[in-house]
Amino acid sequence: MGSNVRKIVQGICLILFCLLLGAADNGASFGLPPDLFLRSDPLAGTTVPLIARAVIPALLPAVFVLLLAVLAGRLFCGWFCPMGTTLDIIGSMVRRILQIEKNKRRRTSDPVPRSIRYFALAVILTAAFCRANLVFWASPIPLTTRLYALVLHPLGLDGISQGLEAVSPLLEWLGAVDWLYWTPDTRQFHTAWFVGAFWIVLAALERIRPRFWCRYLCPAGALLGLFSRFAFWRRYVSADCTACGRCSAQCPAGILHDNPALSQPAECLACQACVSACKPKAVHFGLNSGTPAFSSPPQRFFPSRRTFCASVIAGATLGSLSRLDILQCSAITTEALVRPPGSRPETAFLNRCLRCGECMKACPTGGLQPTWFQAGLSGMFTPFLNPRSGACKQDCTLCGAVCPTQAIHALPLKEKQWAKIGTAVIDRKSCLAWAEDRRCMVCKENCPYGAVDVVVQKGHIAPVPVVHESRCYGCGFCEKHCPKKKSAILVKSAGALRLNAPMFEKTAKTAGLELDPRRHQGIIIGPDAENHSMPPGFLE
Amino acid sequence: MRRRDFLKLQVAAALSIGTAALGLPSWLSAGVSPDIAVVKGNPAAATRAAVELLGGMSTFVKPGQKVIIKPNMSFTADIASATNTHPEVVRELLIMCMEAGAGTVRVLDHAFQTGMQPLELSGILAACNSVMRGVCHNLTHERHYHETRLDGAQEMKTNAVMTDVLEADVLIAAPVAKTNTSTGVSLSLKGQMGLILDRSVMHWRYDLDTAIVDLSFKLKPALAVIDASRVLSANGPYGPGKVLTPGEIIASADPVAADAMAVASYEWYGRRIQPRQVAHIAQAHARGLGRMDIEKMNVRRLSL
Repeated sequence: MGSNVRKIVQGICLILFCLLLGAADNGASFGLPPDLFLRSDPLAGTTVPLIARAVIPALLPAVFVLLLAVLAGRLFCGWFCPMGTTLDIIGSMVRRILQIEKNKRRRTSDPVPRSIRYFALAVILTAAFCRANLVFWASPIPLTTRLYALVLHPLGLDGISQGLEAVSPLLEWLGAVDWLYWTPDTRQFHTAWFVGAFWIVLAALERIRPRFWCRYLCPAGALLGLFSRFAFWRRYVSADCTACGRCSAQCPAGILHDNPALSQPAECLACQACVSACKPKAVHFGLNSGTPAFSSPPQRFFPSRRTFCASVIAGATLGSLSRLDILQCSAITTEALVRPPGSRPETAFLNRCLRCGECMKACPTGGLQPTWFQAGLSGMFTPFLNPRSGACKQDCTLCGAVCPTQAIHALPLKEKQWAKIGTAVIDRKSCLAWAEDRRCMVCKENCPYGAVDVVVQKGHIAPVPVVHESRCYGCGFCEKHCPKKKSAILVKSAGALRLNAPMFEKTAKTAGLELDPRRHQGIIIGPDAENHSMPPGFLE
Repeated sequence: MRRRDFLKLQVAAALSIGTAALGLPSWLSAGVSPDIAVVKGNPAAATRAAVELLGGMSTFVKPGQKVIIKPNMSFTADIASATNTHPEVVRELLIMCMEAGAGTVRVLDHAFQTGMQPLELSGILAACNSVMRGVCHNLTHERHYHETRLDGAQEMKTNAVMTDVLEADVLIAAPVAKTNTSTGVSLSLKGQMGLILDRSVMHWRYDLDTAIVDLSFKLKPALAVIDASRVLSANGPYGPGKVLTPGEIIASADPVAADAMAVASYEWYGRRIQPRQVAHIAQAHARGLGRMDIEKMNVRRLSL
């Protein structure tokens, strides 16, 4: 029974996770923060404040998850974690396809040491002490968010689009006009194949052992394990146990093969599969302490002192290397890297960013994309604005609003409108007007800030565009719409405001920026009537 | 048809009978329609009257035919900005097409941005939905387009055109009158750029004016209704710029003549401009797509 209740809870959590993620780009979130699950990630909630050396109130739900572990063990892993649920679904599919019978006795030996996740945890925490962010490589909720936001959601939409196209004659016949024209806002994300490949590996590992990730690799699970070693609510086995081994065969954590009576909260996912499997009903979860049927010393899956020392050294080394990487990358490579509006200064930004992809999912134009190596190895999968896939809308504040760690500040619209993200630069060697004397002002037409002017320039037959840097926000509408195959107007990060304290309006005004589109209304370009040359676009 | 629409129809019919009775020139009562109609009045009534002057919508749309109306609805701006066609103009055209017995009517554009937002902000989506749900769409996805040879083209010999447009029997251009920094003005010929998938190529590969005419040979509207209720006389097509309010609707079966009439009728950047000073209009005339010599044409003016 307990096992079925768990599956229902798991299903509800996964659906809620998907709904919150799906609604990230329209602000509807059922009264919950859209990044609720990300904020609950115990590993992120522990390490990010440590890296940032700051209290992050938004991450409070993670504290509750840790407290839950103290009370009831790894209930989070077995019942709530969307990664665990996803792996359960993938695992059951993999096992069904490969026809690994459900009731066949599962292999229970450990193919790899269980201490790996503790090792990973120690590395990540040590690096966090050294102020370096390695948490994004292994934190479960960001990894899951990335899968759903950057891979499954676009794939699903594309599938729907293809499906609608396939049945379009039917829709026409039925007169379902809205469906006939409805096109999902399909978008593609860089690095999506990598995320997909990562999960294919996890699926393959499910073939080896169920919940392979949770058993052996997940550092968040290790952290919850540490907190749940003395959990109050745990598994008890009465003297009715016949040592038949059925529970051991069903246990997704694979911890019951040596001693089915032994309760190991640090390893147990509290899934209660053993309760359902037990014929004599000898197993139950509760607060009371039944007398164990067998007595034997608890198994130790904790790493040895030697391994622990090694992991600390590894963490410190990786952390230092990561910091060096950030320093040298932010010095040389970020010119073309436009960060989302309201991003913190580069180092603080990288320290906080979980690479969850929530901002990319939320971005209504699809402009935010994950980096590969543009920001260095330490900056992989962080968001940047790629205007060719979508520009930054002037009336939108979503990317900051959904950022769980506030690597991107959640700004009110009035403040965000001053959070300059970059400056457009015209490549005069390829611009149609500058280089080919053609009458093209698409960049001017599309600029919401009135930052592009077309001027008559000596030596040029056609009027040519120029950018007013103090009026340019870096939104990228010009770059998006430039008719050249490779845009001749490019947004660079120069002039971007990157602040730790969200005082963008004040800073921008102090810097003399004029980022208020309304101020440029009514400015007439081109020569006026007294001038003898023709207004733009007309012949003599 | 709703009661209000029915009343409008009655008014228009009474109006046309009334004006005929008042001793109109013989060519009109003899059934000779003018080449160009210019009607001053509120947008909906002027639209209806202008089309009635040309012989009524049934001259252009036969029962059961598929009609595409192409307004400007690309810009996320309000009516006063004069960057989009007035919703009442589009609504009236839609009603008239339905009255003429059109089988299918669609109001389509390839807006700069994906999604329905520009259509909503222009007011055109709501105006269309008030007549019939689901006719107004912004087609930005390539699945709605079909690669097509553009017959009669000099430069742009091929592009992907909206499948709906290729299937249509009647194409109605319903642009707002405005300036364009690249082509001088953006009227019914230039507006046809909103019916293809790849506009960029017209800028970077071809001569823009030639490509516009190339496109117009394939996508020549049977009826051009230019909304000059407001005219964006400078800083178009995006604006903001100086907006004139002539309160007129210009209609013609010849899109070149309609465009030429609009150019000649208003001040652009505070100046008088001849149709021949707009490169794509001059070229359309020279290549025989239509006529820009409006002084030699039959123009009928009406003030409501």
